Amino acid sequence: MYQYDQFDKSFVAARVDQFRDQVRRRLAGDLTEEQFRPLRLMNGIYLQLHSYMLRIAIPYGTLSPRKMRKLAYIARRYDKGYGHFTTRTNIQFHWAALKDCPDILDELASVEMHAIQTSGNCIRNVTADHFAGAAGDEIEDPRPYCEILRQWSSLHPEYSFLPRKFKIAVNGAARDRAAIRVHDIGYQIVKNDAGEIGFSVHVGGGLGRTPLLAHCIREFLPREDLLAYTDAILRVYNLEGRRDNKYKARIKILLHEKGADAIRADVEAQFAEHRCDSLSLPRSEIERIRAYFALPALPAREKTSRIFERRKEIDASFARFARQNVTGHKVPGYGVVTISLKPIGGTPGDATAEDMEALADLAEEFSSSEIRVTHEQNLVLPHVALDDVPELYDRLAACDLATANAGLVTDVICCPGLDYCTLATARSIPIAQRIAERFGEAARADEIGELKIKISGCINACGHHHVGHIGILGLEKKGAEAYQITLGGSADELSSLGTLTGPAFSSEEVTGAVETIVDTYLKVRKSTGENFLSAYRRVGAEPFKEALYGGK
Amino acid sequence: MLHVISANRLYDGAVVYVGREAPWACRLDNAKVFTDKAELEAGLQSAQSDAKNSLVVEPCSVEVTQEAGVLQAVSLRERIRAQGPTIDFSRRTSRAIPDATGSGESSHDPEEESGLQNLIKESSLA
Repeated sequence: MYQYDQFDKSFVAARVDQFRDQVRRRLAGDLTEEQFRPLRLMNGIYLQLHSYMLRIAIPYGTLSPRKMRKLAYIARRYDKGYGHFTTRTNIQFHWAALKDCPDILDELASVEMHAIQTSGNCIRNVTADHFAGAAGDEIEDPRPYCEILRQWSSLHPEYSFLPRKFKIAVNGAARDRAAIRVHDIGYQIVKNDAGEIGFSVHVGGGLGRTPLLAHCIREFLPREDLLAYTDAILRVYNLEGRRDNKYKARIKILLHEKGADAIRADVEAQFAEHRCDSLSLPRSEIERIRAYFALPALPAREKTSRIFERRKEIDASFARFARQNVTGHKVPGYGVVTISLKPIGGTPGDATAEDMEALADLAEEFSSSEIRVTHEQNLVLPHVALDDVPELYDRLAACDLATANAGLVTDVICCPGLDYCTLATARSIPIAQRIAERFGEAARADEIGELKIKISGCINACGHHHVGHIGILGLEKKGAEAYQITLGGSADELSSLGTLTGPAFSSEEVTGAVETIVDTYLKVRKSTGENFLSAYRRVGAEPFKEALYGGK
Repeated sequence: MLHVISANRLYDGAVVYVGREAPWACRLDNAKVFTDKAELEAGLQSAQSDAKNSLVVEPCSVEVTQEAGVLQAVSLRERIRAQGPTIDFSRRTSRAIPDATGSGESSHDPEEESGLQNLIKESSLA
């Protein structure tokens, strides 16, 4: 894991001191709300329905036990005992008092964390594949490049006041687990014919009120040009992105209006003009950062664990956990374990201080002190010996953290919605809870198989509903909550945006509508091996619309 | 049509209402009800003045109903602001584990959370 050097420490400490003074001046009345609002947003603080919300960056979703324990401490000391992991792999505290925020930021700085650029029209937290560094299908670990981008973009004077927010993701495996095609820039690590590592560059993706998938504007970018090319894209966006209309200000709109070929030409021209030694990444610098992300020393083990296999044979609950929540590791005899934050009937993405402390202990004991946050609002222990998985499972079960539903119908992605958010037009959490309870019986969820349901409480799409196999968008119609449903979305390497089924459903109707969709899938699928998305892509929307609306 | 005036308290963001017996109250039950448009406008102007004085932020009028003396916001958004999230966010926090500091100290006022402290101290608004 990257560790701050003296510059980083001074940089973050100075920022905390600066913000402490700004809060003092605001509370004393020396700054107006209009003057203060952009300053608090630059430090990740929003005013929500009931309180301030503090959004803390978790760069590329990587946490240490020490950081996790600090988050637990903050949850208990300054909040109501829990935090919410988001689809941007950040954590939000929904009950932070403004007067406490400088102290919270001070606490965070003590463990090399901050909230800089978690809001505002700047380059946001750079995200990566949550299995990075452990996945068997990985070309290269994307996190060193995320860290290089993070360092370069932090308080970058030219890119701190962009037309709109700007999100970058880097994926290092053939399987896209970072949703790169719904980012402003998505970098996919690739290997060219000469065996050199580089990136394919995808620009102009995003969700929100105008969902669009990114276009590939370069098939191969050498690693050393990562910053120079990112700079070229941002130069084009900064110059040409619209500032007159915030709803048309994202780079996806610019790309949509000018066309991918024109943007490609503009970016290549900027790249050619400004490519210079100062933005070229020396191989030594890449290697220096890569060293922070080296695979931990994992003792050699047999590929097959008898302890693991035996427990699967005698314990159906464990076998289910092993099937759903344990993924192959690049090192034989190890697994990547997903910790579901989706207990049946719970709030997706929420973790209590006790959960966080338990996971910090388990990460130290079983996962070389590494924890990851996923954009699907779960946590991951990335380096667990298969021999240890049974004991880990028992310990997780004792903490109510062994829900075996990763990737299943009850693993619902969900924004905070109208229960917390000022922008929301409808609640999303109660819908997620009702769906999970409807499908919570293990045998039924297993019969349905892989199914990603994503719920947003407004058109800003923090719950990524456009790329849910089943997407649910909460709206307000004539004073009542209403829920539109989209089908067929996906955020992986075969990305697609969901298609609207038809008129919205009431809050009381929407769970039944989801059940109708699921029942229709079970009828039309060719076999149990054909998952929901494959079946939908084969048969199209009509059988589902017919089941939902009949002749209406 | 009945209205109350609401805002968020500056220093912690808590939902507050122009009160019947104090300038600002933490509970909708204790909010002053405005029945007259002119009076509501005057109340909003006064609330804006408190916003300028850095006591509250974003004051606004909220439509309410009153039945058997009980006030209820008309919109779901305002009902959630008044009563808190509709989900039980504390359902997994029952396991008692000592505070990381060992002090058990919390920044939240337990009286406020239990609804006993329903007024902002007048002294803080002077």
